[in-house]
Amino acid sequence: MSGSTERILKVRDLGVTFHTSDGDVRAVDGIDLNVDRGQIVGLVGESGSGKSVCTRALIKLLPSTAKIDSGTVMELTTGGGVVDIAQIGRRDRRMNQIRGGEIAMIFQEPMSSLAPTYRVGNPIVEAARLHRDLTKQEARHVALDLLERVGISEPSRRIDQYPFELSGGMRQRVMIAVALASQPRLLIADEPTTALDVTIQAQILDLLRELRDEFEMSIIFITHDLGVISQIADDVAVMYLGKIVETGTVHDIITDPEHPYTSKLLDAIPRLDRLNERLSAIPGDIPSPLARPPGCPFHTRCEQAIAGRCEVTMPDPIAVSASHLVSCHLHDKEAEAASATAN
Amino acid sequence: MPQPTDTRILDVEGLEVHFAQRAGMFNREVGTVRAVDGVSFTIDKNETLGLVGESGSGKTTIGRSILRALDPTGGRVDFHVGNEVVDLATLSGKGLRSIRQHMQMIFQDPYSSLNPRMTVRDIIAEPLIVNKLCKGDELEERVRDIALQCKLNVEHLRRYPHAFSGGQRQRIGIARALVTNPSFVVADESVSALDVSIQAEILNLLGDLQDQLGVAILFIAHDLSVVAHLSHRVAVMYLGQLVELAETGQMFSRPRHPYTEALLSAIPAIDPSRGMRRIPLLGEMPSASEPPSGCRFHTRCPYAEDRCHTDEPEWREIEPGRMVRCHFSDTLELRGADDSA
Repeated sequence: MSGSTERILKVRDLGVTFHTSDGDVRAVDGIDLNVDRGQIVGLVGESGSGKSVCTRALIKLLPSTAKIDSGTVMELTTGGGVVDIAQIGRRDRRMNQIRGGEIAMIFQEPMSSLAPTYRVGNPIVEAARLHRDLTKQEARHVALDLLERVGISEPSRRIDQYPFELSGGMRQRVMIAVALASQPRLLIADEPTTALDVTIQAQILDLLRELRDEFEMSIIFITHDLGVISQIADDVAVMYLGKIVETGTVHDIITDPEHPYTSKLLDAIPRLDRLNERLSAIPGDIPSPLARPPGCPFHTRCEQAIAGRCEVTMPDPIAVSASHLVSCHLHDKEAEAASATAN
Repeated sequence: MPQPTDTRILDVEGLEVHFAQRAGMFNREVGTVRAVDGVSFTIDKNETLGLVGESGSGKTTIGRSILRALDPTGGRVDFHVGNEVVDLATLSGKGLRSIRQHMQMIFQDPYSSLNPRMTVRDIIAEPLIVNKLCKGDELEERVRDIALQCKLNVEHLRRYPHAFSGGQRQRIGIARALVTNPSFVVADESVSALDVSIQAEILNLLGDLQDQLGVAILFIAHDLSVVAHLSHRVAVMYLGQLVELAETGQMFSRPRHPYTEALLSAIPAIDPSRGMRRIPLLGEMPSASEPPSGCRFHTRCPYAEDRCHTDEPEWREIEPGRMVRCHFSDTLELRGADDSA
């Protein structure tokens, strides 16, 4: 998707804090993220890394205990103007247009994200009418088209069935159809294939890629699976404990990881081309977000941690190439060299 | 009846688990779900047999029926204990209870499979107490030993499960399963709920424990890379039947059943330059209550011919140790997982 690089979403220093009875948890700790038109951005991280919270903040779907406490989320709207989503109230009328309209979302659990007492076509018709000002008849046609588009056989029969009559893969297709009904510019897909079998997963990944190509829709694809990421993403951001530790093109991240966490994560995956090698596990556990380590969040588990530096200051992102940013003190020398030549 | 051998742990022969499908006001039987329909395989001492298949293929039912959490409706499960061979499929009462210490299960979800009201020490000790294997100092020592082997901190044995992370909880579950020194363990999706960094640690631990204790493992999972990593041999299941069984390397480099090929091609390679060359499977898995005629895979098989619609292929050995259920295994040229594009 080179050529047109129209930026549709620019996130700067976004922070989200949960106020809990045990204390405040900053689940998203000042992150930057860019999404261009027609681009698929992968957001990778283990559980507790803040990847889901971060994307829910983009459409103000956070629970009431969570507050966006810093940063801006600049969205280029359909009309060409720019709005800062971070400044709009979650119940604001404008937010209702954006959420599900300009930015749509699909979730992990296709079994529980459809209301069991409504026919399959209902949420598609509803979304289409809400965001596109269509009549009932027109919306039903849109729904039939979409169901066919996402690969559901016999859409005219399926549209009046109930969710329990559909398999997991088909329900996820229906969810995608619901999300597409408003013709969104950005689709947030939160682990959309995690609950599905590999064969169905492959079909859904193909479908998302086709939809991107056809509608020039952008996608933020959240997953913990680096295999899935390497098959679908253009750019990748790796999250750890609320921070983005490394960003780059999918090639940068998968074949040339610069952050110790990213390389460790890649080494931990069983790979078919390395069947008899012992897996390298990451020592220790992810620290509790209530007791976030000072400095670089990964230093407690990092074998290359530099004493006196990593546990003290959070490293700034350093450009190791034009597309590749890494936040790690191991690259301090390169940063100094770069600033020296700049001066 | 098979004789005890030095190497064999389990001989499964024609295992069947059928469930009655009931409906209506009087709960009449309206059909039969053939969840497991004539499955045969063997497991040796110290061996890990991987079992893969899509959801609904019946792989969990196999594991549960061997351990007799479910009652099989047919077939034999010959379990070799010491110098004896017992048929687990028909065993009941006292006989079954006395055998339970030799076979255990490691569960999928480390959050719901541990009783939150019991300390870790009690959780691990429970199988020893229930089976009346030891008590007093001997029991405490056994619990500490297995906890150490599972890399748990013995200082933490008096804590409750909520104080532990997912990876630690799974290690508690493993310690509990292995504390009676079983010769056979079923691990059903035991690493699926864990993050990759933790998953690697648990896979390493399972491999190490097998080397130390010589336990045989039936490793059930949907993630083929995980299965490949841990298993010596792999069995592929489709709609209640095994379609292929082979040594791991052979299976992944040269599958002999079209379903295996399709499964392998759907694994997302961790290499963006490779891209997916997947073989699309048409449609969805048919219902296990009305399996298709002939070969059960023919409705989705890209190579299906007329014969596949009518004749059910036999479960046959095409090479020593390689079993397959397909009419055309000898002629099809199927792609493995590591073929380059």
